[in-house]
Amino acid sequence: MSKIVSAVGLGLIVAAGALAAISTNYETQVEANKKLCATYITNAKDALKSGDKDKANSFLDKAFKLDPKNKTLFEVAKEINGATAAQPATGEKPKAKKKISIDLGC
Amino acid sequence: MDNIVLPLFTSGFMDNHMNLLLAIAIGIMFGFILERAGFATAGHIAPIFYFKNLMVAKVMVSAIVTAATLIFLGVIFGYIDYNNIFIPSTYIYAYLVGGLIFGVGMVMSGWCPGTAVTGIATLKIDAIVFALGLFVGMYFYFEIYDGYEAVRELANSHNLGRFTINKLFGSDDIRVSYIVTLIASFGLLAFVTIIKKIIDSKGEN
Repeated sequence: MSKIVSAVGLGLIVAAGALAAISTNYETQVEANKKLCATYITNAKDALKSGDKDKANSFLDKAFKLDPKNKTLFEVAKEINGATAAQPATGEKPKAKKKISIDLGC
Repeated sequence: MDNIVLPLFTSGFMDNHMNLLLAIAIGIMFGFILERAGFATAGHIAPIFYFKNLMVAKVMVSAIVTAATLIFLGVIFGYIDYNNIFIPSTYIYAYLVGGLIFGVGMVMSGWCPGTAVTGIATLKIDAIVFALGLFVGMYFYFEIYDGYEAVRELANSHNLGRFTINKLFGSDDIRVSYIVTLIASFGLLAFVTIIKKIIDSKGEN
């Protein structure tokens, strides 16, 4: 019984993924990226309101990777970094904290 | 929920402290599930390499397919930022050599690092011995890495960066990665199942 349940469950998961793959296209992913970009911009504005400029810039950097042509992005970047900033602070890489990455595999 | 982007930590929605707490919680769940699935016993893991027991292949394929599907759905519906999912850089030669050593070790011992930790938690002596060997091996590697230029060159050469399946096929569309993952996973399961049936029919298992 448990084998049947597992097989049916896995089948449903695969079916959901396959259906999504068939019914969407690359444009869907582009639109999803724009939606994510908008979410980051909203959060950047919230961070700016609470006075955290670094966090706001961090959100803008992520937003820029998703939708570099977003006009709202540039407006928010100007707001955060002052009128002299023509684009989000993506040129400056944030000070990288030393990151230790351990991948133990299986 | 509307203003949240997954993964929470790398997308800036969770601080380091909470991330570590979440990692501990996920680790506990993961260890529990591994142990319940029988992965805390080397005798359940090693037989896959002799095509005697397909439990490992079935569980791994189920896990890969489930994770791939959930990530795929999350990305295309705008809940997961694909750029923020951690994918280590691909160092071709280092991974080939490391994979070879890993594979030999796994067949010999019946453990891999993750399952060995589960085995240690259930006080398996062979898992403890495996873990000791693991640390000795890592220490040995760190020593030769520092000591020999050739090792450093091999380890750091041919870095393809964050290389995904869809990039291999020259596409930005992650559906390519998802479909290839499904085909490869089920293909592998079919392959080991067929080999097992052949061996069983010859009466060698």
